[in-house]
Amino acid sequence: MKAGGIPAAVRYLLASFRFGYSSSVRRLAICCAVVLLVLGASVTVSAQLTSLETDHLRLVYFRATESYLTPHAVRTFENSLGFQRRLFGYDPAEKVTVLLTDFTDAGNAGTTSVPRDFVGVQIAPLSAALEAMPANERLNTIMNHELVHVTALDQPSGPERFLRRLFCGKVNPVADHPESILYFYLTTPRVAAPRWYHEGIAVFLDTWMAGGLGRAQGAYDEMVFRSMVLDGSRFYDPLGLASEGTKVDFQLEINSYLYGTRFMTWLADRHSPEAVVRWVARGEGSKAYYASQFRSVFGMSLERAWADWVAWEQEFQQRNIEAVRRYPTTPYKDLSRRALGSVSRAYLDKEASRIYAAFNYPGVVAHVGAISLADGSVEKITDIKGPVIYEVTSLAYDPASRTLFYTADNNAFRDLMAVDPRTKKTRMLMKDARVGDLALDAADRSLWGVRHFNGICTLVRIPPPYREWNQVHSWPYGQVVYDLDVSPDGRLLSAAMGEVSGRQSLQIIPIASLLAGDTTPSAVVEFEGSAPSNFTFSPDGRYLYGTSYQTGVSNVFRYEVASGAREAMSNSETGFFRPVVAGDDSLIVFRYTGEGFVPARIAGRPVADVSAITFLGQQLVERHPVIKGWMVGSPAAVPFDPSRARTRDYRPIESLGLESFYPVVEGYKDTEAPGMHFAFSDPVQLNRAGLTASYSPDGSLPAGERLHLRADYERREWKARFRLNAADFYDLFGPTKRSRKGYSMGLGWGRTLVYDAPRELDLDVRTDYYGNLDRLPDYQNVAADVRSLLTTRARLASSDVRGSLGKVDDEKGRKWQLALDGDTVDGKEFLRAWGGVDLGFALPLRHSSVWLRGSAGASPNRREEPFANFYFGGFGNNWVDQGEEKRYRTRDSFPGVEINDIGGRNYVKAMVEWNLPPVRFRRLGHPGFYATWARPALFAGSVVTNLDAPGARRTVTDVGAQVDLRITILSSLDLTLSGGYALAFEEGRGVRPEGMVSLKLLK
Amino acid sequence: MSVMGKRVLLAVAFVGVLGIGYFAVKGYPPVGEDGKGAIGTAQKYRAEQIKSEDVVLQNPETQQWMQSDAFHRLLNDPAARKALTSPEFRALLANEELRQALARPAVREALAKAEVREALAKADVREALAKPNVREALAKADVREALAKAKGLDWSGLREALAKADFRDALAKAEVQDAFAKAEVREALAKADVREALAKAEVRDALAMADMREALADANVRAALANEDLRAALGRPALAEAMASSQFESYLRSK
Repeated sequence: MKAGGIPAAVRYLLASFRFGYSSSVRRLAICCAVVLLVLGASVTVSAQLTSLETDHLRLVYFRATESYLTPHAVRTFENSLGFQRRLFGYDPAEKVTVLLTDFTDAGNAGTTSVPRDFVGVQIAPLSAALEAMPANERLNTIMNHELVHVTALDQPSGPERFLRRLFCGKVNPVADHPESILYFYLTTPRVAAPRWYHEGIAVFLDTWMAGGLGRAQGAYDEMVFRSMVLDGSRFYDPLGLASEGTKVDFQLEINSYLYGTRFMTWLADRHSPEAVVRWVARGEGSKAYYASQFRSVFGMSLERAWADWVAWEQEFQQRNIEAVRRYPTTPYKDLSRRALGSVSRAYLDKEASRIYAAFNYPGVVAHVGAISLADGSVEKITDIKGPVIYEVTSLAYDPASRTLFYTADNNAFRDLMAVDPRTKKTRMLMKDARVGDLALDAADRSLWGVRHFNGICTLVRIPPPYREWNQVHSWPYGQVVYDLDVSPDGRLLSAAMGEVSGRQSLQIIPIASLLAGDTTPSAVVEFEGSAPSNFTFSPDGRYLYGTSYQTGVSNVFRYEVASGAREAMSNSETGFFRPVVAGDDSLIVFRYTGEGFVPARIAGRPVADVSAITFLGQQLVERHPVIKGWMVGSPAAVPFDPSRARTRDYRPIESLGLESFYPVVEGYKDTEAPGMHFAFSDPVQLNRAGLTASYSPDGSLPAGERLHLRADYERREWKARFRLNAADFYDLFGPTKRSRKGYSMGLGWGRTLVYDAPRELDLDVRTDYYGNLDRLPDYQNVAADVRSLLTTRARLASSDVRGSLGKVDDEKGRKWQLALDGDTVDGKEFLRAWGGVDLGFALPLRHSSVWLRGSAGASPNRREEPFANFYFGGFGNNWVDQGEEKRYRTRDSFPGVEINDIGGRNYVKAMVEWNLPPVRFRRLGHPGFYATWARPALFAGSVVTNLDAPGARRTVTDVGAQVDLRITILSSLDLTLSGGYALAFEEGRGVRPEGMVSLKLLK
Repeated sequence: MSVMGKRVLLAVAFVGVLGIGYFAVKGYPPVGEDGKGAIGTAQKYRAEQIKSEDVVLQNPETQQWMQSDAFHRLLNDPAARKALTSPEFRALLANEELRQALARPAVREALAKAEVREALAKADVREALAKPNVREALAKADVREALAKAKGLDWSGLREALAKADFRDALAKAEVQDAFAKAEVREALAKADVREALAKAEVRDALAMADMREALADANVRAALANEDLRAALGRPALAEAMASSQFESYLRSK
């Protein structure tokens, strides 16, 4: 519906709206309804999603852009599924849904099997940074990897098959009904295994499904463990890895991949690959819990085997270190006192004697910075929005204008930014340009880059003033170009090129030829099966310097452009990366350590001898050649006729189906009500519905209040709900009660008006109709005998908050919200308007911050009317709860006084909160139940109500503290145990204390 | 030491010096011909990998155009995006003759002018232009000049028209007379819309171009130009240029 189509009557209504309270609420409600209709009708209902189905697959994609990939996606899927069938005996009982999207500039994928088997794929090229993820063509790699996940998560044995029939599906754990956690485990026990287990088996298998090309034979993985042994670093045990290792390390969850893959590979080598498969397969007679099955297959505990692996790894890597030391290793001098986490390409500013690069390490928000060559100190230049692992951002430097170019939103659609390192003033040059791998052509000051769009790599040139890009060349799908540089004279472009086969080479192409449409390289350089990384021209243009894992260790290589001669420039024990010619016959490199990369200086002289290390993967294949037979064949050999595939528009509402149903128990006014819950959704989860019916047998309840019904439906921006004598599981654990007598029905609409992570602006509009109430819907301790109540809520909320690697809470930024609440009660109308602002400041202490939070509100109605008042009081957390654990931050909370104790027609409220540095736990618990961190906070606040009525005014102050303990159960479900204490002060009343203990179930 | 012993010692020393000299020059251990020093290569098992031909796609050529900056500009132009996402609009663009016409820069340039497009919006104008005689007439500079002078005149008022000197001068020209001798021309000029359109200099200039007239000779082109969305889209040079490309044709065919 276009704006011009709005009926005349509605236009008149909008034109005549004035803020007079007598009819304002009705008008507000009508306006909200109109807004809902107009905006809802103007929303694009379908985004042209198409579904293509085969016997085992439901491929969902955007027809306009991704059709070209569909035959290959189907074939690689079937190819991988055939392997899972052969190796594990796995045959999915349902179609696996695979969704293809192009929402990010770097390829990625994720899988779940609850409630249905689903794989989401981002089709952009996979990152080649640091060769951390060697792979062949991306869909081939992704389907191989993700279907191992589907198998390991979903494969049922007899008990699961029975329970899935009993519950009519796999149960998704939901916070509304925490009993679902038990049913979730019973129907999918292998989902309750740690991430290292799932990623480990997936990476292990995808490597051998690709004939040895993958992280299980990756030089980056070898480097990580070699460095740990060299540095005497602690190896996490399984509990420590899940509890701390994947949260505080600069590599975060990548540690799951590293440790998991390594452990699986060692197990296969020490015992056999077949034994590893027997561990993971959920065959008949196997144990449901992954650790129990481990003991059954290997005859020892997982912890014991892990310790054996660590001991073995120490010896294995020591031999590799000795192999490296067979020839003199390269001396280095660290330039920085600390490791800098992930580091981007770096540039030397000789005049200022510093290096520019981007950094991302725990405790500090990712930023572009400058390292002083004099003392190694790091000065922050500007924060980076949306950094990416390893590379952080794509960085280029123009010394002529002293401008640093970098990319933001690196996990979404990259923006092109510029910053002056002297003034630190930043500006956005192009929004959503989707260009990275930036390189400056110093001859004409244009930028070159690689654009990722719809899975294709396109070389682009961006001339000053850098507001638009021009296509130079687009490579066919499957060819990936990265790591660009331009020679100082502007004549040559160097780039790394990846092929479908996974072959990587360094190519040098004359720019004049490129611009004429000829991409024939003048030179192609290969490194014996390893990728060329970060090759850049020397200042005189004579050489290209970069790194390669040719020897198994990342060492610096130099390539002479004129002669084609190639020389090794280092013999490193751990690994050197991103070399920069520093002049005076030295190079600046970034040395790998367990805490990230450290800038260091090495001599810029060739080395004659560098010995190779041994790969565990090579040892494995020599001892167990059976894995050579695990390679899947060509996807082109998989029979598939696109013309015979069932293709149609994907309509979420038509695809809605029953997920599962299960018994529940709810609380209603101090009674218990057993019942059933039914969950519905479509395979892509674009719309969901839930229905709960329960009954209170307690004879003390009036008959008309014993039946409880709840129905919810949500689809994209829309939510609809119905309640009859609403009951709630958490009411079984007071003091907060959400159950309400009466009936209600509501319609809500919410849209994200601005989504530019972390910046977000959301609009939510909702209207509800209630009948037969005995309490206010929002305030449990305020009685109200109303025949009918129409509520309308409109809220505009903005959030722009950030945190550093390893954060447990937001650490800086701002939030605000504006809200309008209208109630029509038995013909009378009431209005409340309120707003709030939160401002956060990061402290020099790791992960610590101070927040100022304020809100204010007013109503034009009479103070004596309950609906005209705002009510405050209490922490608000139940003994067992599902809402926000830090509820003292919310508008209606005020620890120290009773819930809803403080009321007022208008109010001002303020709070200062100090989030102290969290305490991390490495080994507190058991792998199936452990604590990860404790987060203490101190707060002090004040609320003043009825500012216009001294006689009714209340001024109350409180101080308090709360500690939250995060607990993980079943490897993937989070609980939070909170304890709080506060004292409230008010003139004329004694000091009032309040203690709070609450267990929040699920997120 | 005996003489024989001294000789043996000297011989050994001589051989030793030769050997040292040899290895001093050549190095030890001996360096192969392929290089000086040894940069090892880590052993990693690698089976033969899939190749490009193992990746079978569907109409991959459509992606080429979608990667272009022209397409990107279209995507960021709300009106062009709306046009391109309309199935009806794309069906029009699937017309080969239209695209060939649009391949000509002169045609696109002419169609970029709002007056030309407004003129073409009128059925009478298009009908007039369907007639070869009309088009031939309009090819002549004299005719067009005459039409310029005839602006605002009502042709039924011939006497009034003939009272004007510049009109008489125009009519004196042979080409003009030839043109008006043709019934179709006169019929076309009898229509108000046609005269109104031809009163505009931009329209006449556009029609002066051979490419334009040739394009308009095609019935499909004229029919396509009846579409309001297409005419609006043609006002956007980027879209018009994009529509002329063969890659765009591939893209349309794939949908």
